[in-house]
Amino acid sequence: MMGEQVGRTEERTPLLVDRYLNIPRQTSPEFWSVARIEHIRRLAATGRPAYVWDPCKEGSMRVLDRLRFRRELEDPVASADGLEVPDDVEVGCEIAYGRIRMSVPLYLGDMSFGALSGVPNVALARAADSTGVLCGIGEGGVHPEVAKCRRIVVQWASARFGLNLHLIRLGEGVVIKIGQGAKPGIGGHLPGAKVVEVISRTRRIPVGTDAISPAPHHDIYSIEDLEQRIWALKEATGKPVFVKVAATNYVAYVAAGVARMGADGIIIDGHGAGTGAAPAAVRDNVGIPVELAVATADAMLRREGMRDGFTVIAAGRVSSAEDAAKLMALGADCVSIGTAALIAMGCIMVHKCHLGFCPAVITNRIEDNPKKVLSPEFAQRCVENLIRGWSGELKLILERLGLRRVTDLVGRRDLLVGIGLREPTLGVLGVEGLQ
Amino acid sequence: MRVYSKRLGMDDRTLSHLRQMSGVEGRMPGEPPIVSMGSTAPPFVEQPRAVLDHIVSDGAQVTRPSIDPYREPVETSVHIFGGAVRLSMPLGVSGLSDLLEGLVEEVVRTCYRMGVLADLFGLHYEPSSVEGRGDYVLTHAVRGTAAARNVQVVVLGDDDVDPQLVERIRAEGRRPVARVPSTGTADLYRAVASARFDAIVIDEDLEGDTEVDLELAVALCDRVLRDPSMGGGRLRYSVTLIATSSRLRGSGDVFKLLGLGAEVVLLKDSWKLGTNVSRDTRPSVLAERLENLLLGMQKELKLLAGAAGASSLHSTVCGNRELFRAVELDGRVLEALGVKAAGSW
Repeated sequence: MMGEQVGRTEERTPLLVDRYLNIPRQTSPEFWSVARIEHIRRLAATGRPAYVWDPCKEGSMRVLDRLRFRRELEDPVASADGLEVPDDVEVGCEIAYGRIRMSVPLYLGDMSFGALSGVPNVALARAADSTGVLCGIGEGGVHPEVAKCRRIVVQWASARFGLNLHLIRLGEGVVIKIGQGAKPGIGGHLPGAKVVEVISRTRRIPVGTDAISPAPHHDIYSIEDLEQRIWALKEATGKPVFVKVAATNYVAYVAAGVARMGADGIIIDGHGAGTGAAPAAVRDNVGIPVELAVATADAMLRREGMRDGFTVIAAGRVSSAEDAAKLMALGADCVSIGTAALIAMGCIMVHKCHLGFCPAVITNRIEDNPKKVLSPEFAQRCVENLIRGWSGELKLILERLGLRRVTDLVGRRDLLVGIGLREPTLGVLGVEGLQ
Repeated sequence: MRVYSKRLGMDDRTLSHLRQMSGVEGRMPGEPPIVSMGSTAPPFVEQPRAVLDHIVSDGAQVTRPSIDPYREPVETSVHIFGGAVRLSMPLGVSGLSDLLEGLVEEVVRTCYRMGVLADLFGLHYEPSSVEGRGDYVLTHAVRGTAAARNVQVVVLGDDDVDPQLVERIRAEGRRPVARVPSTGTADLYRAVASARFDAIVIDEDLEGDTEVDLELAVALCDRVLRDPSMGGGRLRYSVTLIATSSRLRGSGDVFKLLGLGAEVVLLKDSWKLGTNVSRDTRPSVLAERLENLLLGMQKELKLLAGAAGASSLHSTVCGNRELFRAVELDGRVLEALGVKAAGSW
């Protein structure tokens, strides 16, 4: 669908990829274990819940995986087989001071056109439209098919790639991207190998050059500067404005500042989040986990009396509805998924996105005359099913917790308990511990 | 207090990372390796093996701008020995005693060219290339013996903390440096500082698997040197703190040790594994790989500093614990490090 050619010498009908590759054996430690990938694939294939309590967390060292709902300890049912998804549990909610209605608090995280190879961008945006969630388009400008979708959120990032007034008014809202969890403090990075003609045109940069966005916005050096941009974008678009930040040392203060300066929500992206390319030294050493960041940001917003109506979206390693439920109990209103959505479309976690040779044709370099392309229908259906299955699991969890509405879960830290977590961590989470 | 016992060797991910920078692997020598998708780093995915694995660095977000490490200057130089010597980056190489003499000579030349320290600890001869490069070489005087002729910096053991000896070395126009194990007490650090040594090298390998993690030792020593009751806290500016251990891996470890108070980190096993040096390595090949490795690490340090909004390693990162947070460490370890828990206000 992309890259209309002039003077193409050899026509070839590309193979449409509409099935999953086998998951390779994982030879080194990996958060996205085979079990997590298989879980997502099952949701994507059936659109039905697979688990109540996610068994994939067993043995994981992530802080979030060492939090449990007390209810699970009382009633540790894992499989959702044979369970009826309750219809009297409401997972829909409103975000951004009630201005955006969500069918389920799920945001398909800002993955750019260029990092993804076109078809996945379109599939995500269309799936967001058909299911009533939101899809962030990332910072690489907009794919023409994505531009036709309603439920997109346009990103205003430090390089301003491809932005104009028309584009920022396209979606349901605008995201000012300050940072991302995989590389807090440095800018987006699209390796030159993936900057082909169509990307060059969309981003307005030369073919073959690395697209490295500036680390800071050079017009945002303080919270006060940010305020000016928030109001300028609101003025220009009439839409809600979110601010996306990486989870770092001062995330609580940043959240308070973002709320006070008039933004409608904050997307907090934690350590371990996915990326199309990042320096390993930064990815592995910078930033804090999202569970800690959300807990501390929520506490600060409440202390400052700015929590009501303001939206906190948690991102980074959100792998299941249970992860989402826990993050909401810690104070998030909504979660963002990136990697999980890619896995639904066939990602097998080989960590090759930066090279452009994605075996699942999701993050591959866009070729003029490709051998194979991802089937748009398959990709869209998988993401839609993931969202439906995810909603089903969330409903089952809420039912177990005795809650009728997903909004009742937000900030219910009392429902959680920490297993073998250290005192300082429990203090930040505001959760009791069990040894 | 020992939090993690010392674990040598390197996982494949870290080893490959260093070898890509040195040019042993890949096609981008001297460049920070680029990766994709989520991190697998400790302590959340891979097993943590050191206190350093629990420490994370800051990324500036709105409260102050980050420095764009690709486009804006980030100063990596450090001034050591009371300002007498300027290193281009806070690094040095150590663990030379198992290399052939020709390779050692080349390492000394390379370190001088790159503006980093070469540590001759354990070497029983003076490599010929030291001459004229003595400011950047640490030589070790065993009690009662003369130090190497051409070396400006003389390192003494912690049983030589003797102000008269220090003055004698200084009178020769040389720089006295004390090498102590990581079990050093606050009293020992105080004694070293009072004896007017130019630097303290805390070496975790000096007494085998010691009872104190290097991280805790560096943090303690930094605090002692900053103590206003001693020299008004100004000793921190005249005494250089150098940290070394055979378990240190790459720029992440270096950056965090700087944050705890070190000004220079000497690499031991990691640079040798990273350059894949062996008896058969040609000196010129080793020089090229070591240069590439150091350049790559310098760029990584710039990335880490820039991300944290720091434009200078020496003036903004060294001893600046506020740039760091710790995840899942005990309260007493946090206290000893002086680092806050991640997420705390």
